[in-house]
Amino acid sequence: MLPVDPETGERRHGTLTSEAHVIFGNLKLLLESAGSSLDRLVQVHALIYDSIEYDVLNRVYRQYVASGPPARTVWAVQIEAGFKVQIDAVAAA
Amino acid sequence: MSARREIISWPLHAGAPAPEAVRGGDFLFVSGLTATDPQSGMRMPGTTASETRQILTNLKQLLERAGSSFDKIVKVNVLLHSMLEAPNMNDVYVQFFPDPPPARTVCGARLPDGMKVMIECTALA
Repeated sequence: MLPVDPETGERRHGTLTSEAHVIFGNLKLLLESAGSSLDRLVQVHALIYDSIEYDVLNRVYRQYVASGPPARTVWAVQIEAGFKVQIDAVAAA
Repeated sequence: MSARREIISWPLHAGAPAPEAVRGGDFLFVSGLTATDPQSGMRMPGTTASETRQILTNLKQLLERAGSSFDKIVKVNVLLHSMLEAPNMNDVYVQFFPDPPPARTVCGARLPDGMKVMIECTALA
C-alpha cells in the first residue's frame, strides 16, 4: 500500500512518518472492512526509500502494532512515484 | 471462525517491534532475519557466506522451536546487499535445504545496519 487519500485517491507525499501514518490509517480501514484488524496481522513487508530511516519507521510502526506485532521484514528500495514508504501485509481473516 | 494467530519470539530481534515469527492459520511467517548471535542478540556482520550460514543456522532452530522445519518451508525471500554475491549465498544455501528446495526469490536491497544478507520465509506450521 502507498500513502493515498482514502476518499480521493490523491497521493499524499510527505515525510516517512506522515506517509506511514496515512498507510496504516488506510490499512486499518481496509482490514476492518474485510472483517480483520491490525491486531490480526501476521506478516508485514515494509519497504523504505533509505535504510537510514529505519528507526523513524519503527517509531510510527510501534503505534499501530502495540498488541503483539506481526512478523516483519524491512528493506530499502526505490519506491514508485518518489514515495518514502510502501507496505504490504498478510492478516488472519 | 477465525484463524489462529500465535507469536513466536526468540531474542534475534532485540529492539525491533517485530517477533521472529508469527503463526497464522496453517502457515508460519518468519521475519527477515539478519546474522545474529542467538545468545546475545548481537549482530554478526561478516561475509555474505558467513552471514548466510548464521541466518540459516538460527532459522533452523527457530523453525524447530515453532514446530516446523526446513522441509516444511514453502517460500523463501533472500535480500542481498549486492547481486554479485548471489553465488556466495547459494553455495551456503544449498547445504541447508532439501532437494528439491522451496520456491525462492533473491533480490538486491539496501539493508539496515549495513548487513549483507537478510532472509525471510513462509513455512507450513
